[in-house]
Amino acid sequence: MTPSPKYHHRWLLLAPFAWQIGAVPLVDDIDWRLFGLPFAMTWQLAGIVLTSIVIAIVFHLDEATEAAGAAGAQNSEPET
Amino acid sequence: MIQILTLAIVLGTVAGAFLYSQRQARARTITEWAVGGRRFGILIFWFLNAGEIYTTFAVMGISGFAWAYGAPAYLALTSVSLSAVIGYWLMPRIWSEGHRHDLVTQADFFAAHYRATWLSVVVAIAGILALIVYVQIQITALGLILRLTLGHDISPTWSSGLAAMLMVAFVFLAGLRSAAFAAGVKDVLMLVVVVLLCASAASRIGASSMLDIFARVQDLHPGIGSLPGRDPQAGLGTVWLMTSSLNVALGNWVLPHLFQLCYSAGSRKTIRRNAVLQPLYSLSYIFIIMLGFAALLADTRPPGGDGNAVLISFVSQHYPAWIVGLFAGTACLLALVPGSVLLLTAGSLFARNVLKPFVPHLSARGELLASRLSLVVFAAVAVWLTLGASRSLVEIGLSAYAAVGMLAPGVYLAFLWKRANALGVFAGMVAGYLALLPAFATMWGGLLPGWETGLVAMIVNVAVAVPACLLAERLSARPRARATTT
Repeated sequence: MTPSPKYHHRWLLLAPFAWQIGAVPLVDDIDWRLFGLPFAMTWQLAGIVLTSIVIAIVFHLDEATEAAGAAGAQNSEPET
Repeated sequence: MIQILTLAIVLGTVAGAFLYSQRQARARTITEWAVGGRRFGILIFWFLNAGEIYTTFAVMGISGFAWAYGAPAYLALTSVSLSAVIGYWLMPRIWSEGHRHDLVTQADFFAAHYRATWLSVVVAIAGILALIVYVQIQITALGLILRLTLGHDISPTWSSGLAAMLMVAFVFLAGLRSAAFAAGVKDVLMLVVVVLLCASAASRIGASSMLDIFARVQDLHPGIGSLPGRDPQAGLGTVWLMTSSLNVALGNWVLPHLFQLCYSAGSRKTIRRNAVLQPLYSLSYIFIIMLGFAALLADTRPPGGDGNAVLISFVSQHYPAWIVGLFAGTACLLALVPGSVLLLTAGSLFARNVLKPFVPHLSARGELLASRLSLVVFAAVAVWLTLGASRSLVEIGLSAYAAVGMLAPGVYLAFLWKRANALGVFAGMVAGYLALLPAFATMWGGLLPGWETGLVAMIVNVAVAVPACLLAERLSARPRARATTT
């Protein structure tokens, strides 16, 4: 199941979890208000944007990898 | 005025959806009806997906949660984005296998992958139960809206019953295709309504701007912006948010109707591309939360202290009739469209995966009929549940996720572990459901304080399933070994 080296960029997908779940206890007590909004909330909003960016990056890298894989038709790498 | 607008919106959408579906092919088979013939391109798929996010759980539930508790409403901000991450990995796999084996329902997947029809019957029943609970949410919400628009003299029984009948009627218009059209209408209207509500919310409650609403609510209720929010006794702290978010993210695509939604996409690329934008839809929750806070600042007291009715009460008390009507009509669609998709899924699951294994010669038309009849029954059950319970929409939602979460290990193990087998997965499911029983709640509360029970049960499920799979494997291998030696 370990992805081949070409798919290592997939580990990026863990970043949103670290930001939006892992960081919850850390940001909860911060009292600083950005634009009047509670910090914990702004943190999550930023997390949402980060997640979209991460998925976009992974998507583009996946597409590039799979295009290259299809072009070099020697290794029949199973699509994961 | 309110009634007229509400009725206009709902009937208009119904008519539009009906005409739209008539233009498409008539549904002849359950495949056509349930997964739209597998030909949805990115636009329709996008609408259906976005539509899934704007449900009554989202709008009324979250605003009510923000009003009652504050920071715990951030669950809305974590669930969609993290679900999208998991979906990016999981959904293409579900799609590929669905295409390869011509699968229609979630239970089909279990039958095909684990080569065990009996397991698919169990999974179908579990899925149907979870779906009924989810329908309960929609009926609860729709009932509240009906009582608002038609007057508070209507009893909960009548409004819930009427809500269910409307939903069933909505479903009988060619299935998934009309849901796609209606979802599009719903999303556009939802956008309009939210903009209208938020644009004037601040001035209506005496704040200077939308940001000022947040500032004021934090000044008036110190600590509301941080966990555990307004009510420390409610157990909605940091651990709750972390475990609930994880539970929703893992369980999201295991919900039968979303699982099957994967099958309707045209390609893996469609699914993946959709996952990129999905998190961004949830940014709009900031406005929903803001409305909940605005209601709090306006000292809104919904009838019976029912958090679910906060937004309705707030809107009807502070906005002109035409906006109230627009809101009520849109809120009806918010309940009707997802509700119909849920009933549709439950019906097709029943006909194909519970009934058919016992009646193999069931014709395609018979299957269609069975699914339509059974969904009426399920709607009735949901009404009965609605009348018995009175919890917040978010709580009901989380319990639906907990119930369906028992199917999650079976799905994930299918893609992650070649040695997963039917018996092991089943053992895990049983253990998981036992762990959900109220009897164990206090034990989990002691061992893992603050943890969302659904996630605990999922862990128990996997912890039992893995060794059970190994054991089942060993047990089935032995007789063969004996046979070769003798």
